[in-house]
Amino acid sequence: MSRFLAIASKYPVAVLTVVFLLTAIALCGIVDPKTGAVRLEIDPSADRLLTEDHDAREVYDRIRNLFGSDEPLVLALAGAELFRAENLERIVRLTEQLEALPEVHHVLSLATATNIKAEDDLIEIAPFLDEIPRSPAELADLRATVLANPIYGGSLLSKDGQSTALLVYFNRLSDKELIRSGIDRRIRALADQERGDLELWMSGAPHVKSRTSEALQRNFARIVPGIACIIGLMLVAAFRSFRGALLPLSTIAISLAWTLGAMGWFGHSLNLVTTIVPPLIVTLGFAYSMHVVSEYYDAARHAGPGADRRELVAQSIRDVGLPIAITGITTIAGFLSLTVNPLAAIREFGRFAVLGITFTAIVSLTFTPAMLALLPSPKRGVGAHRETPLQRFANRLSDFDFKNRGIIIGVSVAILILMAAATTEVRVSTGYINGWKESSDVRRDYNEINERLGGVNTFYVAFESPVAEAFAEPANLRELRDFQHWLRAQPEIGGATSIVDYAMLINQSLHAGNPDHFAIPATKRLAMQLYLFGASDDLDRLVDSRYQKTNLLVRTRIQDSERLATLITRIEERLKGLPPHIDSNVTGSIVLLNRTVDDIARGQVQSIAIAIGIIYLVLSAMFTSFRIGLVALFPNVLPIAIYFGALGLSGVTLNPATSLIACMALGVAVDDTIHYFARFNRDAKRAAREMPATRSALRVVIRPVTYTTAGLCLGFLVLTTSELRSHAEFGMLAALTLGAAWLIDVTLTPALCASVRIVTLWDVLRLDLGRDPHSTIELFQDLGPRQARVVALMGSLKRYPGGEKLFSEGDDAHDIAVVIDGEVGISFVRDGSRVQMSKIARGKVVGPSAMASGRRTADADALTDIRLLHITAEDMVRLRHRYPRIAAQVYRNLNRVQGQRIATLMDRIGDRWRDPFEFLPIDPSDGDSNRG
Amino acid sequence: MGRARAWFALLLSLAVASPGVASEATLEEIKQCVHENAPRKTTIQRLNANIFDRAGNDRRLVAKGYWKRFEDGLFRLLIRVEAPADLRGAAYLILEQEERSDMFVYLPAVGRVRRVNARSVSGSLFGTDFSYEDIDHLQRVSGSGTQEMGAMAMIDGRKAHVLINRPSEEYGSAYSKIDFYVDQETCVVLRADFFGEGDQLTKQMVAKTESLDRAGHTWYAREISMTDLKDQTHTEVLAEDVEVDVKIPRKMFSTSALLRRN
Repeated sequence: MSRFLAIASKYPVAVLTVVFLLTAIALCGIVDPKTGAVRLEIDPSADRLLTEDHDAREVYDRIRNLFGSDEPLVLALAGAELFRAENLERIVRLTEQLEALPEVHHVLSLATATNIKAEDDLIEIAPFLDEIPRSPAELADLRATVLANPIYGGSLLSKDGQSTALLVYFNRLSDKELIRSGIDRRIRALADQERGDLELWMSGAPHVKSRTSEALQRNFARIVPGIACIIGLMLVAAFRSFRGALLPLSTIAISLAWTLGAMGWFGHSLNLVTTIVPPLIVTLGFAYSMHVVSEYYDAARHAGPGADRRELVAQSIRDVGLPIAITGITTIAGFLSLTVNPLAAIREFGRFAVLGITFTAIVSLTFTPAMLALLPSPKRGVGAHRETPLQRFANRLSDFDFKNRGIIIGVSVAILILMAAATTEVRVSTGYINGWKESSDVRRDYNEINERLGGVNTFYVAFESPVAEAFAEPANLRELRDFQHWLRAQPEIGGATSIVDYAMLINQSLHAGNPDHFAIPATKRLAMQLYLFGASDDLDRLVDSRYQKTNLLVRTRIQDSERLATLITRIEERLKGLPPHIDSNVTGSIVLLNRTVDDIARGQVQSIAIAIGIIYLVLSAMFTSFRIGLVALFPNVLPIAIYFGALGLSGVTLNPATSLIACMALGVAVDDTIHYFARFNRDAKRAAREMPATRSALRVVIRPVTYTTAGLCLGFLVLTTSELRSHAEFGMLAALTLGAAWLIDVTLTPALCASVRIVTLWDVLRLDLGRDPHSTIELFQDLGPRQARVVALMGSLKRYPGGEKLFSEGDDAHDIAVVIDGEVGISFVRDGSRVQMSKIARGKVVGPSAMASGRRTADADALTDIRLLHITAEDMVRLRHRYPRIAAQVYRNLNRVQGQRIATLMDRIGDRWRDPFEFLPIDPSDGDSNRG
Repeated sequence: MGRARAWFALLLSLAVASPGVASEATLEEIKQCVHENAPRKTTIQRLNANIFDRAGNDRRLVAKGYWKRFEDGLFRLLIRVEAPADLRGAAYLILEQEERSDMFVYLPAVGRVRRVNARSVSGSLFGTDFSYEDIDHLQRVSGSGTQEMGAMAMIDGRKAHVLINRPSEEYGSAYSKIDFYVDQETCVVLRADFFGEGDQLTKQMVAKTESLDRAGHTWYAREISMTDLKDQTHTEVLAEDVEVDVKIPRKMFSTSALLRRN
């Protein structure tokens, strides 16, 4: 890893060449260099948001294939004078013009809907507006006729007779093709031309999707540059130099180009969800490059003028490279969890977010240092030798954190519990229209049509029977009618049309309009003959040619997922009451979209659980302790709890966009924790105390952490300007969550660290205890190599030059020492003469009883250059808490050493009684170094 | 000229007189050939129709058609359904008038004859892919509106004249134009392309060339199909037991006969 990190400073030109080459290749994935055509497109289709429940999709596709689309574009014309001849002529003209459009399959309006009128023996079959009356009485009569029609009254014409709908059904085109054709705009133009004084509204799924696509494109063109500008300003403020701003911005631009280029090369488009990837890359790229540049500027400030540039870069990268790599891994873990989400759109987002973060980390660790290595050193250190306001704030804050750590931890736990409770109020929601703000014209038009014309949203209840001509049987038709009556009585339902309505209408007309015959045909033979007579395209949309499959078209005003789910459940329950030979399915685009709700909820739980699990494992490995891993996880889980609590309290729903925030916040927030922990650990070792380390660590990390959080928050807040509510909510919530994460990182994290000593993985990997420490150092006997290092890292390793006095007889003693390298001489003075007791070499404990007795009983001198591992009583307490098994073994070893020393001493005492004047040299292997 | 002729065209799907037309024929000659291929007085035939929906499911309809030209030169047409059993006896009677045809429907299950004023010519006939208007055009080939010749075409190895017909505005057609491919040899319409607004092909009628047959002086295609390209449905019709210029009593073409027969 170190060698990789050093490449950029050693070979900057080569690194930059490779980066620029890769960037050129990436750009070719975005724009075709030969034709200039944009490869990377925005795909507005909502298919990727639909559930992938194969059974549900299969049913929907089959029913749609047979009976046609359930998603018309809805035009509505309204006015008090709607039923005036000239306005009715407008409807006819507009219908004709719409039907002339190549994308349009047919239009259902008053100009095409068939009216069957019976008078004595005459039956008239013609559209309502086939002959437009002129006199007020005839116009009123026509209005009454339409309203009395059970199929069209209330749907094509509102109950007050002042609004009429034109339902435009399209040929079999995909969402993408339809939107690219610009049909929405053309229809609008035609409608505007014909509306006269009438009010005009437009809605329906095709319209909403078109407008959403346009909004996405506008957003993309506006928001990414907007975020980049904000970040640029932040960088100038942070570094007070344009270089300090341009370098991270270049890093961001390259990372973005690589990510978007990869999407283009793989043939992917930016969809409703993946359009959030670019802002994410911009903000994360800012964070990573900020750390690199900040570290470099700090190093330059400390080194002073004239320092070697490349060495400065190398040192900076050594210090910050591994944390960036690890923060990259943890952020990736957050997004990796999304790649198993049930929704295709979210899985895609997860994949490209992972790719983007990887690229960003690589570019930050290659391009940025390579450029720094080539550019001249900064002329002035940023904030050189003067304490900045931020650092002063950090000092006060760290003191506060240290003093009140108990309260801070307690309050944090309380917040966690409260927010967890608020999470139970979280609602999950989907829907094309939900993505729009209430004030938007898309939403307003939708509400008008929804209210006046029985509902914009439609779905199907499809019936099938294996019995031949089942839906010509009166008994089955009665079942359908009863179900339809029940359905119409539901408050959410604006209307329901089925073959029963047609059969009853035709029956009445063939019986001279007698209302008594507005009834289900009494026999199957009659029903079949009525169908023969009434054969039409309208009927084809309700029943198949064998009368074994029939469709009930339902209109509803509701678009809220929760209410729709409740309605569907109720319908499905009612459908269970049908005879066994009639199968039924509730289907339609909004039904499938509603199933997505379940997928989102399930996917969210799954994603967060996986992300937390991975991050926990990474932290535990990093800090070589599952317990410390848990401690480190707490400040990262708390922002997630706050996020879900905010959702529950604010009423903002969990939808495909907002469901991305939790994993993103987890991945991003953990970065700051790791940077803080790493710095704290280093400083705690140097100072051998936590309090100063709390302060010094916060002083160092507060600038990059604050600026990156501010940049992230401001960047996400730019999204609140989006026309799309889903993006605005995403921006607001993401900013809130990351802001909370910052607050937690500068209060809770220091409070947690104040009472721990952390051993990090890289410390363990780096620590050199010589060869086979677990077998050559008596204190580490029966410990594994890693365990030996853990013990060593709980203590403090110090070097002493040869000849240095280590301690003297009678000094206070609160630790034991282990010789790692070199030789220590133990001696004491008696009657003015120095008596050499022993020489202690590698692996021996010096003063095993001193920690208990509290006093040195001899002098110790470094006979050569030595390394001594000091372990205090406090260290042993921490070891016992953190690594109890290791501590138990260390105590056993210590007891054994003491026991051996005592035994040897007793032997010596015995010998002394025999020859009181003989001082035998003590073989170090005898262990007679009890003195010390 | 109206629906009576139109329905006749469905029955026979014919074109002009036996000798066919020369390859350099004019528009008028082709129209004349088509006209002369029509039976002089009567025709009777059984029609077997298979009607396919979007999913490819089909239902079968068998009907017998009687056509007669009266002394006033106007036509009468009776179509009586023979199968399936539930529909047996249902009948349509079309009496051509100068201005507009009178249409009557009889449904045995209702037990009464009703006069039907179907102003919508684009309505489906018996649930098939043929509309009233389609029949009218197929019968007349050259209706109201403008006609022009297109380039000669080959249909299944047979030379065909192309007549391009654009209905007049007064007709109120659902089509912007119809291209007829008239067989040079038999004057049977081998193919008809129906174009919607914007000259978009919406329907296509195709006659199986191997089913070309003759009854008396009249050529016809026994098997034809109509495909609705928008809805992706189609109807296949097989004409059987074709008799031309046989005796059919006048009283058969009356509303009372509809009731009596059933």
